[in-house]
Amino acid sequence: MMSRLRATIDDALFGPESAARLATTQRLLAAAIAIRLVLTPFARFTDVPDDLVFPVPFLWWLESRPSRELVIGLQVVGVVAALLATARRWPRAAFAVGWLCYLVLAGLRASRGKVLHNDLLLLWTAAVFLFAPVPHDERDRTPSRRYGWPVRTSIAMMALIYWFAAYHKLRRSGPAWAWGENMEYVMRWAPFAGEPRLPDLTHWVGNHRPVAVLAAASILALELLFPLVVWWRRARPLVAATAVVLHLGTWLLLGLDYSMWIVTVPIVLIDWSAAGTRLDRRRREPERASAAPAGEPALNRG
Amino acid sequence: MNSVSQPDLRRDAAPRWARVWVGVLFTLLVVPGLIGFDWWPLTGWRMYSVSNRATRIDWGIEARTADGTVDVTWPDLPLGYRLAAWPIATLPEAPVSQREGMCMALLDAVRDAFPTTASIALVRDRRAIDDEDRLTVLERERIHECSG
Repeated sequence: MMSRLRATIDDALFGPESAARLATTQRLLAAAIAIRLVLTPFARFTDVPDDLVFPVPFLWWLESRPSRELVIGLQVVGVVAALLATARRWPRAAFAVGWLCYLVLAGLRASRGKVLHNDLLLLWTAAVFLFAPVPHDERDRTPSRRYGWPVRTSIAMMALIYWFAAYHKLRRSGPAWAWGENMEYVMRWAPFAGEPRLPDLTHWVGNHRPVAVLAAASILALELLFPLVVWWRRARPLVAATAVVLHLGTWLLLGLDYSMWIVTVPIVLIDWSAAGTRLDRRRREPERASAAPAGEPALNRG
Repeated sequence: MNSVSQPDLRRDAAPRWARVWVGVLFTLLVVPGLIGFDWWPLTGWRMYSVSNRATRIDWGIEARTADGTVDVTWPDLPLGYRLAAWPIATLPEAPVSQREGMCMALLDAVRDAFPTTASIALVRDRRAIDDEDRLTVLERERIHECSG
């Protein structure tokens, strides 16, 4: 029994994946870091007085907000490194530098007295790849345990993160988080607490209890069932799409920006290298079919 | 016969240091996740876990301007100041020097938005939302006031 459980966990974290998937996932995570570093105005957080700076624990040594020049410098170094990692130039070192710059800049942004989760999903899942092996042939689609652990572990970590979100909802509020009046009031408070992008829709959901309960129950169900993706590959695209809809909805209805979660979930859950190969094969199929002599079947069908 | 020999099978495994790295990451993820504490980037992932109700406690800024008293909303202030409600919530237990420092820091930003501001008060509001989605302040406690 124990050995079976151990084997299941071992396979979930260290099972085989292809070199192509490893390289593609790391490439896309690096691109996401580059985009985040380019689009976030980190320098705008530098003109805050020291009395409003509350450094996150790993930046405890900061006595005041770093200079604008230093923040922009970190941003530039981070973007260049992340782009190099995307292009697979010195992938390990470039990825580590890009990730480290992102960690420090996101930490500075979070040093304002509130725990910010916006960047944490990408930071955590990308952290697994800091020591990822660099395959000799990055187009090799043969599954191997040497290349599987970063992808498998990042999927398991992501699943655990979503599950923890549900666990604390149930721990602190119980099932009433979904079945009670919670979501109605989330929507009704939203115009006073944030900046909804679709205030009319926010108002409508807040005043239609069945819709609000359905939305809350869907969120809780997604978070509780997310760990299924660790073992059930076929569920991954659906779960990824549902998570994207959830975070997009949060942005439109409540004005809360979880864009990096929207980007990170599909990057990690979907095998983009396989999707690319399939697309490529489908594109070539008509050419091969037309090139095949009359009376002979076209190759590579199905 | 299987074309993969035993030594090859052994080589096709995650290296030992990778297992150590994964173990470290999972420990850092699971311990705060289960207990529910925050030590950024370690976190309990407790976001939005407390149920909302018709009443709630909010922390904010009341400005005394030439045109009267104004409740400052966070979007009125520059980006870096918009999360100040969270540190204000810690002020009731904070020493006077810390309250004054934070209040003066916010006064400058409020003056940029409302130039005739003479003073501000950091406040704790108990607010309610009615059936028509109108906001009412049921109770206001001024935590600290500053001018200058």
